[in-house]
Amino acid sequence: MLPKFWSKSYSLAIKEGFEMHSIPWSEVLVKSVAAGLFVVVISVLSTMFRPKFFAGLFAGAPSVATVGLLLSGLNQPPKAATEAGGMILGAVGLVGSTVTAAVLLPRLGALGACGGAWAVWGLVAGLLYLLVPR
Amino acid sequence: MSVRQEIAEERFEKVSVNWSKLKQQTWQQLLLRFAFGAGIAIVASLAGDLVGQRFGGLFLAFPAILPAALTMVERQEGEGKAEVDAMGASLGGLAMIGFAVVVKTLMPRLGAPLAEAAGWIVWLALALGLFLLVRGILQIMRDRRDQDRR
Repeated sequence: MLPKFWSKSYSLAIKEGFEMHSIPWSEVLVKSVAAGLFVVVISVLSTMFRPKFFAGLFAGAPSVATVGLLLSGLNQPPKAATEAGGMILGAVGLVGSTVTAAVLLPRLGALGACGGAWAVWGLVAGLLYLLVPR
Repeated sequence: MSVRQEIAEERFEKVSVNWSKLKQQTWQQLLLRFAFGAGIAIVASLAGDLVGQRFGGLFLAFPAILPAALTMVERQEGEGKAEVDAMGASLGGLAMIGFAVVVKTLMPRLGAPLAEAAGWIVWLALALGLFLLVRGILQIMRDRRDQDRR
């Protein structure tokens, strides 16, 4: 089972309208450190492969998702399943953003391509979130 | 040979692993990648807690590696090579949809570790399958073009 500190919620009450939310900061911290390390491993792995066409596959690997869903799912599988449902929409946005990056990179360079890719991701994922029923 | 022709030819190279790349990693690059991953995980967690789990789940598929990869590839090898990387990332992204569908379906029945293992198997199979399929199609197109020229 998970260590005791995991279940202890270092709560911060945040006013959002009339609702109060509690943020489990220890969970957020563990997730972020583990996700950061996993992203490093996957991205270093991708730099080792040739051709770059093959190496690029790893940029679409579920690196942050693996850690996030695993840690959520160990405690609350239904919560993680709902997160995975949102992830499907985000992954469609990811495909749109990588196509955008491929198109913009020769024209705008890396920074412009990244900005465009992120904007397209936000647009596609946001629209799908609003339009696709649960 | 032009840059575009070089890119097209590189796609057909045999897949290989260059272990010396491990030693070429700088702390700056590793820290940048860590920051991207950790930052997105924080955003996903907070979005899930404050707005809802489905909304937070969107950020689990945020292109976290892509910007760092594009920037570094561009610096090291020129914009053309980075474009190829992004095309591969599109296929990886398509495979990620498969990962998420499998995890969503299996998580309540099998629990997190088994659902994630199944998700990764599906991601690997889809990513490799799509890579081989697209490369095969590109190869057929190249062969036909060469035949037409003759």
